[in-house]
Amino acid sequence: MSQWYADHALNLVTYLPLAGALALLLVDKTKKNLIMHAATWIALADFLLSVPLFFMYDADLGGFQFQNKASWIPSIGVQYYVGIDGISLLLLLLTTFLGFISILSSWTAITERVKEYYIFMLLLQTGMLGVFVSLDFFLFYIFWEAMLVPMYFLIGIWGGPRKLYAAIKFFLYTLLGSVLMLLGILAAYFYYARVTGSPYTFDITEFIRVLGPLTRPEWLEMQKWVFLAFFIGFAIKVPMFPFHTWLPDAHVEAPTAGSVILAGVLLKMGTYGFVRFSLPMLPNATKYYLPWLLALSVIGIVYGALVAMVQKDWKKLVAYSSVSHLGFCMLGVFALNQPGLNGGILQMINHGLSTGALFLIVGLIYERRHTRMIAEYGGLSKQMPVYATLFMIITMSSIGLPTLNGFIGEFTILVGAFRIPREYGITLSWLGGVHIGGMFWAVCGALGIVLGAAYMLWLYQRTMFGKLDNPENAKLSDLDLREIMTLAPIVICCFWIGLYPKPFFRILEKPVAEIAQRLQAGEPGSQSAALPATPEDSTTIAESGGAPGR
Amino acid sequence: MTSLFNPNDVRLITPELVLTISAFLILGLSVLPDLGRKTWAPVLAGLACVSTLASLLSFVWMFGLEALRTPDMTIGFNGMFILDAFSIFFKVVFLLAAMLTILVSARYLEVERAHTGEYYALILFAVVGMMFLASAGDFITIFVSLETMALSFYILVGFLKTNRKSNEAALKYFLLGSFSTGIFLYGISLVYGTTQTTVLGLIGISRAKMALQSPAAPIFVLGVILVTVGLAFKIAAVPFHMWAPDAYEGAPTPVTAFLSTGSKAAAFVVLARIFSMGFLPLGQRWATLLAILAVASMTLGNVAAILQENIKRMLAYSSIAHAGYVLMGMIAVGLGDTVETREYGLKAVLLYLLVYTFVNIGAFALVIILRREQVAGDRVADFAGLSRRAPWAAFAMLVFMLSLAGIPATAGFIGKWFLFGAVVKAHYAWLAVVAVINSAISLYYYARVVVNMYMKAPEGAARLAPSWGQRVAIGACIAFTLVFGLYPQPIIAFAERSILALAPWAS
Repeated sequence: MSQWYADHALNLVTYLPLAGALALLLVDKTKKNLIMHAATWIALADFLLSVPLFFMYDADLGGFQFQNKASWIPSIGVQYYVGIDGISLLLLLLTTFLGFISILSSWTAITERVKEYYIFMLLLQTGMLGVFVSLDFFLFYIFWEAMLVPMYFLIGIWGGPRKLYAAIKFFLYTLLGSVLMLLGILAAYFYYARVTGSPYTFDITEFIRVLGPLTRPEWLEMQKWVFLAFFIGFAIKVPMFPFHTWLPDAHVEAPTAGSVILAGVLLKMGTYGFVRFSLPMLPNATKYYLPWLLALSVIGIVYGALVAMVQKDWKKLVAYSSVSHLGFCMLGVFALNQPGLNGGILQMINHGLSTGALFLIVGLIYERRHTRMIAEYGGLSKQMPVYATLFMIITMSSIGLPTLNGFIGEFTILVGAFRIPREYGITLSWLGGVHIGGMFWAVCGALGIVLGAAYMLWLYQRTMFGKLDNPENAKLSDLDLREIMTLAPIVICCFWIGLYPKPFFRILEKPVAEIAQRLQAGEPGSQSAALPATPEDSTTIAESGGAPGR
Repeated sequence: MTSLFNPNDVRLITPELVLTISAFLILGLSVLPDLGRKTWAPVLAGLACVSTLASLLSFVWMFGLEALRTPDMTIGFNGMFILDAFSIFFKVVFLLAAMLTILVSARYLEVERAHTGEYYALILFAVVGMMFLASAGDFITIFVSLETMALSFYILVGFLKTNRKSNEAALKYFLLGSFSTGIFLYGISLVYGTTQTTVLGLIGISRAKMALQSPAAPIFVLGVILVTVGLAFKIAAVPFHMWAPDAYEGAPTPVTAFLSTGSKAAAFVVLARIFSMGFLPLGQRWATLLAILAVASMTLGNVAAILQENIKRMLAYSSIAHAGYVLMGMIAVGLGDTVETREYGLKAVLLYLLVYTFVNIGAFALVIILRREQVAGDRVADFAGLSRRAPWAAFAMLVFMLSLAGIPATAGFIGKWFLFGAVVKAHYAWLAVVAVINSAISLYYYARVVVNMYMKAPEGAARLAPSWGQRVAIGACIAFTLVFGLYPQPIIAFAERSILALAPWAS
C-alpha cells in the first residue's frame, strides 16, 4: 500500500483537484450547497493525501523522490517527469493546505456563480501543484502559464470594483514575464543539446547537472542572457521591486480566497523558480548579477514597508507588506549560503501562512462591514475578542516575534546575509571606498523588520484598540466555528514552526546543501570538481579545454 | 527525351480531379430550374462536403497510407507538378479547412438569403487552386493556380450581392489583389530573364548562384524582392496588408474564415516552396527582408487589433500578426546554418499553419453562429454574457482565444513554441524577443472577448441555434485544439515527415 502510494502520490495529489473540477462540471449549478461542500471535501482530501509525503520523504537521502517518468512528446524530448525534493515538498504542502483553507473561507463570501468559482479554484490548485512537482521544463511551463487562466477568472469575475483592470494587468504582466522565460528555456534547451551532443531533453535535473558547472566561455556569456530571461519571469511573479506594480491591484481586487492563494502560493512560484532553476543552473550569472539582485531585494524590503505604512486600505497594506516580506525571501536566497537559503525558503512558507491569514482576516471583516478603510474601524477587540486574539497572533507572526514562525525565518535570513562574501559587495570609490556588503544588506533587512513591526502594530492599534466609536461596528458578530476553523490551523502551524522548526530544516538540509555547494563549486579554484559526473559527458565537455572560466 | 504528356501523370492529380469534377457538377446542378433553393442548396452543400472527403480519401486510395508516411517525391508534367509529403500535408490542411468551412456555411447563408450551389462550387474551385499550389514546382504552375484560387475568392468575398460592405470588400480585394498579382508576375519575369528557367528546382540547384555571379545579379535580386512582395500581399504582411481588414469584415463570415486560413496557408506553401527550393542560396538576404516584414506585421497587427470593435476586423488584424509569427519559421529556414535548423523552421511553419487553420476557423465559426436574423453579431460587444446564454459556445470561444494567444495546454502554444524555438535556434534571439512581447500584447484583445463573455452581463436572453454542421465543425476544432495541445506528438510527427521531402536542403 505504501509503495503504491509512493509511486502515485504526486499524480494523485496534483490531479485530484482537476478530477474534482471535471466532476463538478456535471453538477447542476443551482445546487450551490452541494457544489460548495464537494469542493471543500475534495480540497481537504487533497491536503490529507499530501500529508504522508512529509513523513515519507527521506530527508537523509535527499534528492528528488516520489518520481514518475514517462515519455510524452518524444519528437522534441518532452517527458512527463515529476518528483519532489525537500523544497518542493514544503511548497506542495503549503499549497494543498492553503487550497483547502481558501475554499473553506469562501462559503459565505461567494454567493454568485458558485459552480464556476469552485471549478476555477480547483483548476488553479492543480496548476500550482503542477508547477512545484514538475521536473521537465515543458511540463513546468505548461502548468506555470495555464495556471494564470483560472486566476484571471477568479479576479475578473469575483473581484472588487476595479476587477477587470486588475485581472488583465495581472495576466499581462505575468504572461510577459513567462514568455520571456520561455525564450530562456529554449536557449538552454538548444544549448544543452549542442554541448552534450545528446538528443533533445527538457529534463531539469539534466540541465542542472550539465549546464550548472559548465564553464565554457560561450556558455558563461550566454548564461547572463538566459539568467535575465528567467529573472524577468520570476521577478515579476515574486514580485521584486520594480516589477511589483501588478501586485497591489491584483491583491486588493481579488476575492479573499484569491488573495490568500495569490500571496500564499503564487508569489512563491517566483522565489521557487530562482531557487530551483536560476541558482543551480546558472550559478555564474547569478553571481555576476548578485550585487544588483541583493540591492533590488533590499529596496523591496524597505520600499514595501514604507509604502505599507501609509496605506489607508487594510488590504492594500497587507499587499504591500507582501512586497516587503518577499524581499526578505529573496535576500535570503541571494545570500547564496546555507543559512540564507534555508531561511529564504522557510520564510516563503511563513509568509504563505501569515499573509494568507492576514488576507483571511481582512476578508472576514470585509464580509461583515463591506469596507476595508482602516479609518472606519477602531476598538474591534471589545466586540470581537476571538477575532482580535487570532489577529494578534498572526500580527506577531508577521513581524517576527520569537516563538512564532516569522522569527525563525527572518533570523536565519539575517545570519545568511551577514555571511555574504565580501567579493559580492559593491565598493563605492567616490564615497572614499565605502563597502556595501553583507553587513549593509543585513542592516537594511533588520530595518525592514523594524518598519514591519511599526506598520503592523499601528494597523492593529488603529483597528482593534481604542474606542468603539463607529456605531456600525457595534453590531459586528464575532467569528463562528467555520471561520475559526479557517484561521486556527494556520495559527497552529505558526507556533509549530516557531517552536520546533527542526523537521522543516531537516527536510531542507540536503537539497539546500546541494544548491549551496553548486554555487561554491563554480568559484575560482574549485573548477575541477565542477565537471559532470558521468564519463560520456565529461568527454564531450572536456574538449572545451579544462576550465576556461578562470 | 521525355514526351510532352505522360498519361500516367494524370494519376497524380486524382484528388484535384475529383474536386474539379464535383465542382462542375455542383455548378451544373445549382442552375436546374425546377428545384427550390431551400431543399436543393443543403443537398449541394452535402455534396461539396462529401467531395472534399472523397478527395481526401483518394490520397489514401491512390497512393496508400504509406504515401502519407514516407518522404517520397514524385514529379509529373515535366517538373511542373510535384507530389511529395510536403504538398500532401498542405493538401490535407486545405481539404480540412474547406470541409470545416462548408460545414459552418449553410445556416449562415440561409440567414443571409444567399444560399445557392455556386457558393460551394467556388469554394471547391478555390481548393483546387490551393492544392495545385501546394504541388507547384514551376513558376507557371504557381501563377496559374494562385490565380485560380484568387479569382474564386474575389467572387466569394462579394457573394452577398445586396450587402454594400460585401461589395466594397470584393472590389478592394480584387483591385489590390490584381495589383499584387502584377507585381508577382513581374518578379517572375525578372527571375526567368536572369535564370532562363521557371523550374524552381533548377533555380535552386544551380541557376540562382549563376545569376548572382552574372552582371544581371541586381535584376535577379529585384525579381526575388518583387516575388516576395507579391506573396506578402497574399499572406497580408505589413505593409501589404491594407486589403485584409476590409475584405475580412465585408466578406461573408465563412468566407473570411476560409480566406484567413486556407488562402493564407496556400500563400505560405508557395512562399516555402519558392524560398526553400528556388532561392535558398540567397537565404541570408531574404531572411532579413522577411524579418522586417515579420516585425512590422506582428507589431502593427497586434496594436491595431486592440483598437477594433468589430470582431471580424479584430481577427483580421490578429491574422496579420499571425502571418508575422509564421514568417519567423521561414526566417529560420533562410538563416539556418545547419540542415537541422532549416528543418526546424519549416516544421514550425507547417505545424503553425495546421493549428491556426483549426483554431481560426473555430473562432470564426463562433462569430458565424452569433449571426441571427436582425443581429449582425460581429461586434466584440455581441459576445457579452455569452457564458450565461450559451456556456458551451463561450467555452469554445475561450479555448480558441487562449489558443490564438498561445496559452499552454492548447494547440496554439505548441505552434508558437516551435516558431520561437526556430528563431532562437537560428541565433536570431532579438526577433524572438519581439515576438514574445507581441504575443503578450495580443493577449489583451483576445482577453477582451473573454471579458465580454464571462465578466459582463448578457444584453438579452436570445439563445443561439447552431446547426448540426456548425456543431460538428466547432466540436472538431475544440477537440483538435485541446487534444493536440496536450498530446502534440502526432501532428509534430506528421509535420516532421512532411518536410523530409523537400530534398534540396541537403546541398
